[in-house]
Amino acid sequence: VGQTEGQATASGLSAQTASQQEELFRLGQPSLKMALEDMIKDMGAPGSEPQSVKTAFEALGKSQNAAFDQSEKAAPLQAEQAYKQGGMRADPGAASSASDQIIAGLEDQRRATSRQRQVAETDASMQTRDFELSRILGLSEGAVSSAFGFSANAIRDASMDQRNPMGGALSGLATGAAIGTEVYPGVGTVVGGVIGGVGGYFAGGG
Amino acid sequence: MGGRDAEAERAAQINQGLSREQFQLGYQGAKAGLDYERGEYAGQTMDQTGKWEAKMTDVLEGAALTRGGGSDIRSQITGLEKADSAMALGRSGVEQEKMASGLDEINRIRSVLSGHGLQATNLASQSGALQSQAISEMAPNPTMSTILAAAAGGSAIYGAYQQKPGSGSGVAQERTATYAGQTGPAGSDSATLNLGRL
Repeated sequence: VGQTEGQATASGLSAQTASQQEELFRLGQPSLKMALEDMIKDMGAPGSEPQSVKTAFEALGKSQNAAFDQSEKAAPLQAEQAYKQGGMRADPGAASSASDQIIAGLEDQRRATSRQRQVAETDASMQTRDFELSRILGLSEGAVSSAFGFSANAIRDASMDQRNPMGGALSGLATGAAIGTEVYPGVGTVVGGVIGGVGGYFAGGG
Repeated sequence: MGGRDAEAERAAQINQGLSREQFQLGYQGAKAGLDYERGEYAGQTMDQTGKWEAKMTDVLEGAALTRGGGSDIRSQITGLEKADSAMALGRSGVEQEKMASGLDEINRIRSVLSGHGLQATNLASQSGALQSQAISEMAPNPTMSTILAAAAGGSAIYGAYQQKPGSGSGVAQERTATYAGQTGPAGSDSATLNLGRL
């Protein structure tokens, strides 16, 4: 009521940007929250191996062991086949001895691989911890800064809200009394003043 | 004005709500990160035993391989010497690496704690600045200001009425009586007053 076209446009824009603000916040904030919570959970207690690294290296260990197991199982058959195909005469048990040698070599390799994996796992744990810690702290501080941005907006908005119930009441009283006087001086002044005052109080935010 | 004020109030409430929610998330994250790092500083550093044991075993096995073979005692002694040297060098290397890694770790923890601790205190300072800004936006007491303004307006009207000559006010009549029979210097208040009466 009583709005100019410009005021109506400004009011519409205000509602639109408020809605966009909420929508964008609801789009971004859950992603931030999810990533932060995941990283905090993954990092675990101070000094512990990040869960993601532990899981990855457990899977790697199983896969490497399976590969060595397969080679070790195949070694006796391969050695026997090699002797048969070679066409040379050999002592009894030569194929078995060759197989044992292959298996011993494979075991050395398996242990060396396991040690390499152990070193890589420790390094990966520390790198992951450094990365996660850096992201957790950086993002959290960014989130607090962003919260302050919202607070600054709220303060600016609040400073634009100039409502004052008593001011509104006084203004309404004066207007009401003037109208009441025109209608019926005396009683009209008082009645108009009271009605105007009450209306002004509520219009002024009371 | 009511529409604008209501809009401003609504916007302030939305921003305040988002601020609270976002702050909570950021605060929890920063607390988790700094608590973790303080735990490490207190001694709960990452266990690297497996890594150093693996490296040491590599050294021992590598040293054993350098021993080589030989049937005569001279070759065997030479092989032992090589193996012992390789083992000693390898172990020293691993120990040195372990020591350097420990120092790096402590420096890293100190750097994270101090850097992000400072960042947190800077944010606290920013929060304080916002608080000051918020206080500055508060009128001392809007209702009381209005009452005082109304009272001031009323007393001004009353004062004007009192000053009005012939208004029936005792003060104004007394003053008029005082100046009525007097002629002050030209341009003086009483002279002007008397001129007005002529």
